[in-house]
Amino acid sequence: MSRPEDDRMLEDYLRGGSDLSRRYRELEGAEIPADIDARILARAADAVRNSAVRRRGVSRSWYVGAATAAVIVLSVAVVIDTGVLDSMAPPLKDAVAPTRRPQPEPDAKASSDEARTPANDGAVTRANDTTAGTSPPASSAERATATINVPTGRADALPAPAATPPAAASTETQRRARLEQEARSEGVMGPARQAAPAARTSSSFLARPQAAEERDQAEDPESWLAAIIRLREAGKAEQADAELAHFVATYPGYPVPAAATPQAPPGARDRD
Amino acid sequence: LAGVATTGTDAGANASLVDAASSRTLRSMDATDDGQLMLRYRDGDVVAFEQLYARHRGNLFRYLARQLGDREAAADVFQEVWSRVIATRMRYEVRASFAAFLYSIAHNCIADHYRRLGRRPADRPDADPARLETLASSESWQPDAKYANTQTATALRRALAALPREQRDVFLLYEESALGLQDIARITGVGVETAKSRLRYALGKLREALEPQRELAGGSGT
Repeated sequence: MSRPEDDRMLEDYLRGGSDLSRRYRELEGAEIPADIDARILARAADAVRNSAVRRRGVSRSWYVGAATAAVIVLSVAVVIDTGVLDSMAPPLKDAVAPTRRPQPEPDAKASSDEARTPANDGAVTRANDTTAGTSPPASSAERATATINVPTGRADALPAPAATPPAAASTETQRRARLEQEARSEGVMGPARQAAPAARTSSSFLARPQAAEERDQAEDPESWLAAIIRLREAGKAEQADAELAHFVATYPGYPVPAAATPQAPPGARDRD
Repeated sequence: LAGVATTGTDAGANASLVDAASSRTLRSMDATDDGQLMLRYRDGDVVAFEQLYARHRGNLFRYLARQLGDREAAADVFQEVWSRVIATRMRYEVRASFAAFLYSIAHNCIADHYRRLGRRPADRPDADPARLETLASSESWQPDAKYANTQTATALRRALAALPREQRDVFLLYEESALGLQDIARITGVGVETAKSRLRYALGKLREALEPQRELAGGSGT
């Protein structure tokens, strides 16, 4: 229990200028031994010097650490790029295949089955999705062609953007498929021609992506010309002309055999 | 160090006494600079440390010497305190005043000192009356020239030495560190009211010790 005078004394003291404070300050100060000042200041200076040296060491080790981290990051990136994606492909395939693959119609199923190999069976890539998505399946032959041209194995394990064919190639593939289907229905395309995609697929599925495959097919002028010739032989002159015009636009300057060019009317030669 | 301005409590015996309140205010204003000096030292400026050291060395040493009652021990602990300041400079941030930081270290160093001695702080050697007599008459505790022959100074020293450690701690911190009761409470690890109560008891005992001298001198006041 504090007395009132104690409280008053405390208030006076805290306000400052009390007699007690004054008398305390009048006491002779305990003097610091002379050597202590120098010792402490020297220690302070040494600490700064040592930490500067240590900091230089730390900065060197920082560079080493950064270089090590960069090497690790690059190594991981290379490993992912070359190997890890292989293990990611099956889930993609399983997830996309049932939902995106169109049901083949009976006539297409035959050609599709005939072209399909065990290796590419069930393989679906984004290229196929793009084809199905950008243009609704115009015919079963298109779907079958798209299916048989899908490479499997390492090819389907490549990153999706690389497997996506350019729009031009995709359009070209559809057009070629339609052309071939028509030729087949007319009986102008033999069994060897029908088996060709399967052969090509099976020979190239190990390393070639679908885009490259389709590009090759689209850029194969000889087979295109052969198809035009077959159309012309089947009497589909208008369609053959249209295809020829398209061919010339695609491959300007490419030598076109006479069999593929429009036939002169019989009477014209007579007139000449 | 001689050229560096020090606080009011470093004034010599012949110098006019600086009013305690103004001194405390002045030192509070310096507190901001103290933090900046410490940051500069942290960044490698040794001169900043020298300024900081010059500002606080006198007060800190008096606090230690009067709290420990042993000049040699005070010198050891004094060096230890500054060593810790130097060692912890990289982690220093201006959260509180530098004085609070410094005296907090000092308070801990005193506790460590007693722990090393294997003694409780209450068993301070100078708590013995015979030891108190020795301390009061020893060279290091001699009054300054002006008050050398007065019994008042001797009585004050003895009363101060006889105070319980916690009460003496609060009184010395208030006198030497220029910190407020809140900071002192934080340093000593108690509540503000407890710190205030300890200070009140300390003042009462000191006043009682000075009463006979005051009657002789015919003085009055706290």
